Amino acid sequence: MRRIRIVLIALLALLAAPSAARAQADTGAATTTYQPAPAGAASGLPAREAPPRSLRAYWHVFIAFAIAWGLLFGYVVLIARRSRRLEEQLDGLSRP
Amino acid sequence: MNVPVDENASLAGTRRWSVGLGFLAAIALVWGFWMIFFYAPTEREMGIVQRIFYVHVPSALVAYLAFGIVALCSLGYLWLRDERLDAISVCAAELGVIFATIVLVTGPLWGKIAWGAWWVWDARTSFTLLLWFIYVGYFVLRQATEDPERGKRFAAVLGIVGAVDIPLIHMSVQWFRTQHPKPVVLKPEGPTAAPEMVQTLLVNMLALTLLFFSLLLARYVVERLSRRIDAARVAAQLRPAA
Repeated sequence: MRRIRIVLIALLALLAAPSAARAQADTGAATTTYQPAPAGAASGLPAREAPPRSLRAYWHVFIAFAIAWGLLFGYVVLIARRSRRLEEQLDGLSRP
Repeated sequence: MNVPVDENASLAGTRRWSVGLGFLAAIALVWGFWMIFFYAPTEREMGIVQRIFYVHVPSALVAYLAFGIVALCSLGYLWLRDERLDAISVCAAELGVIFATIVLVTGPLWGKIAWGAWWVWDARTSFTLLLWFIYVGYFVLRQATEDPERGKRFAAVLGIVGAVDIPLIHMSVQWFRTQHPKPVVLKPEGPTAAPEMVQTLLVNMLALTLLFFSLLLARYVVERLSRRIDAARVAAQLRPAA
């Protein structure tokens, strides 16, 4: 139960973070003065116009972070479970 | 089963290091996460989607590190035939594949908004996909031979050869016409990105590097335990029945 609560809080934090960043972007106070060259211009390819901003970008950020954190968290759980199982097996083998 | 006391103590020490590094990584990850969404400025051209950069680039660098360790340990294994080096290679390769998967998943999510396409067959994305396939092949090759020692040797050779792809990926934006932009942080004349962006990137690089070493040590303990159990089972099978 406690684990589920922790996972839910982490998911809520993940959901809330892009919204906070959106609020920060909307105020315009924190936008950077740095203007990197568009990808096309840097590579010598024809430059494209900046893509329109939509809610979709926020979903992409959320999914990217959720997958990255989910993969790493899943791997930690997998290693912990495997370690416990192996130790139990080793104990079983050590017993006369 | 007789287990050398030194080996048990060594594994317990490795586990302690893993937990310690994991604790530091957790602090750095929370700090990095806060910096990504509350400290780093929003990039003008791409908007919020550019924040994927802070997980995409550090994951790529950690994957390079992991596959570099695989190559070095594989070289050491072929030379010294030390089982510990083979164990480190396997663990680093597994983690490298995980971090490379993060790169290959987050890249298209960023690219779809920034470039208007999920996937572009430019040099960097193609070489990165190739790297992922090489190290997935590393695990397939280990299992493909009947003689495990042979499988380890073949995989070690692939682990070394596969690392040749790392400089190709890194230099591809200089050598080829690619959709990926040229570096804005890691370049000889210093970073041209906003200082807050560079700081956020560095903190997230530190966090993922600490996490990588913590997971590498934890996975190494699991690998050693697994091999010890396998050896004990083989020994029990070979022991004559009383």
